Amino acid sequence: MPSLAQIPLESYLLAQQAAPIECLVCQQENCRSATRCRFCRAPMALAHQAESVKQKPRLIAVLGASGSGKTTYLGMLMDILTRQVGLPRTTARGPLSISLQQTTATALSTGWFPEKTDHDPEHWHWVHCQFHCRRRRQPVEVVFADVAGDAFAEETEHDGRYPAIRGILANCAGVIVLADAERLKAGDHEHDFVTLKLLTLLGDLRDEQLRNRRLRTSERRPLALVLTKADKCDGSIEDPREFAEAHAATLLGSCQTRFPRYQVFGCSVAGATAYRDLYGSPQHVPLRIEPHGIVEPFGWLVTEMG
Amino acid sequence: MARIREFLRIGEPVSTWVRRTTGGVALAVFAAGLWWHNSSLLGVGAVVLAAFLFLGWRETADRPAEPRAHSTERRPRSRPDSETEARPLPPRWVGHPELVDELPDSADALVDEMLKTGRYALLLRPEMNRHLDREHIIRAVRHLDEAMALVPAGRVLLGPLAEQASSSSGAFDAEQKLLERFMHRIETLYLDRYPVTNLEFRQFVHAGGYEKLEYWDEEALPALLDFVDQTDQPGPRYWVEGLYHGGDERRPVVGVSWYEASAYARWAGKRLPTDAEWTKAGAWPVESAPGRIAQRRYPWGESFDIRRANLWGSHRDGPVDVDEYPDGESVGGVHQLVGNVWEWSGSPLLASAEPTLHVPETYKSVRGGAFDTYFENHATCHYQSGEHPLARRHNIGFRLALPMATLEVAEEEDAQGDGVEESTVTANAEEAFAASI
Repeated sequence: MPSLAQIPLESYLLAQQAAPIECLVCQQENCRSATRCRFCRAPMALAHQAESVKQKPRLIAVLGASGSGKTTYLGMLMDILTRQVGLPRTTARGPLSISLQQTTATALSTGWFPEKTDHDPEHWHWVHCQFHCRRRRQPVEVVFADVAGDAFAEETEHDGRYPAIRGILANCAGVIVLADAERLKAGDHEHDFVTLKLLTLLGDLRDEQLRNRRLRTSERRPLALVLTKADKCDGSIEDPREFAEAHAATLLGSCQTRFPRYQVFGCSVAGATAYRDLYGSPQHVPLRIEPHGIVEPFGWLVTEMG
Repeated sequence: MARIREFLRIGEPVSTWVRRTTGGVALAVFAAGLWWHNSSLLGVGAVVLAAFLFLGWRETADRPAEPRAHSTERRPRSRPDSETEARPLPPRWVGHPELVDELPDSADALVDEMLKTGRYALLLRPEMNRHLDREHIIRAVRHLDEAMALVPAGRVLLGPLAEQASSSSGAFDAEQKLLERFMHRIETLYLDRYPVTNLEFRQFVHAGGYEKLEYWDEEALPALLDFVDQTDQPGPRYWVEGLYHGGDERRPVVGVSWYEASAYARWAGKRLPTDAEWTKAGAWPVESAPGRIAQRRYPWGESFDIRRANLWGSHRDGPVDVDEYPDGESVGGVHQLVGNVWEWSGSPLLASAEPTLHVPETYKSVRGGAFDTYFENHATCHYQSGEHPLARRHNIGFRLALPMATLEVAEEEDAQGDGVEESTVTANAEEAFAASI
């Protein structure tokens, strides 16, 4: 004979589950129990963490073509800021935010660059961290994603294929544009076009928001143009602006026109590189890791975000 | 006559234009007397002109014979020994009159000069030391002992196997084939206790090392004009006007290519250490049985300690003096093998790199990590990186090695030698010195 069990009806829990939660990236409503946004596939953990902190996190768009070094730069940035004893430094929020750092540091320390980021938005690394710096009394909550360069290229060709990208571009408070200094110096500007398209898209979305009166002011967002792999190009760390004027005039011009508050930086992670056979195909690998100019662009951007 | 001499300052250095003006005025007075038939002017002009010509002749006769090139510009050196004075200059200095002033004038002075500039290794070469007396050799050996540490002969593991040998507990057994490939034997040598400093490298620059082609590898000659500092003076990349920044004299010299390091080594009478020699000095391998070897991961032991080396985690933002981090010395007393600056090795990178790695054949091996090396496992005694030999990086310096075999010959010959007269010593030593480089 079945026995009866007493189960308390915790209606407030049901009510909590029924209340929707807004995705931090695309700002669409989702079920509270969802692990990923049903529209943009961004992790809902970001929204849950944002709810738990007083300050609303600021979204940073990190743009760049495939192979420009986004994963290495962002992973190294997080590792440096976490290891830092003084200021600036960051505190990662949630285990999700440590994955990018873990992947990058593990690969670099064993003599490899991190693997190319997958197209699938579910495999992108997202970071939510608290950034402490000297120039701001209060720490800043920031969120950014390591998006695949190929996904950026696809999104500029086919609108709406990656809603997360559109969400990042529409809602970001600051922009980091990464460009491969080695390619620029060699005169290879093919990859510039992806970045130029993304900057155009950023401007269009801003105009749309102005038209819909969701925003009242013109473009005030800061933009950091970061020349990566600067170790291979003399002068791109010492005087990145001059390097950009000489080798990336179009990209620099576009940044100047659209973003009055911009700054050019140079950075490098590897001191020297070589190729290593992996299952018969040569892979580009670092010979030693000597990070330079990694924190400066991010620090400037967060300070300028206001 | 004495008053006239005094008035005209004859006997003292008189500038040419004063002499010419006086002669010209005297000639003009004499000519005016002739023109106007004025006997007074004629007489005065003739007397002054005659006196001037006579005294000028006397002055020329009194002056000692000197080479024309140095007669007026350089003050003659006081040389007590007339034999030394008469001796011809070594051929390499004849073409460099700026160095003649610094030419040592006795065996003592020569030895002092060589020791002061850190070129004691040249004094200990057999072709040089057979001309020196025992005291000089003892002084040179003392300098050698202070500046260099002995690395005993033996076998050392390089490449991918070396890291396994250090991380395994106790000792490491490997297959015979692999051992044959990566096990190297080195002979006894001396290795610099500290990396070469800015101050030491300045001696090379000051001695005209960048202008003397005999120090340089043939393939580096086309690039020699590019080896300049921030102000286009010959010297390391980050120097200004041929000089390092103030306060950097004890810091390791950086911004030098592999060729500049090699040229300095030739000038100092040493050479760059090979990968095996460098690793042997740091990892201090112990071979308990043939093929069974244990090597240290860091010069001080197995685990990393940020207090013993200047890496990224030390937050020093640049190279520090070579005698900092004394706790990081190796068993043999070699300092800063790990951290501060990478060190050029004499070996090509491919010689001991993993077989799967593809790098240009010209790449040279660099070892030890630097102040901006991020990961500790990239700054072990076994980790190897590489760089193009023409690269002049902000974090690559070097230290030098001196094979013991060179000195053994010297010692044997010294034991057979006996006292030689000083003048002969000096003459032979200078010639040998010139020939030895």
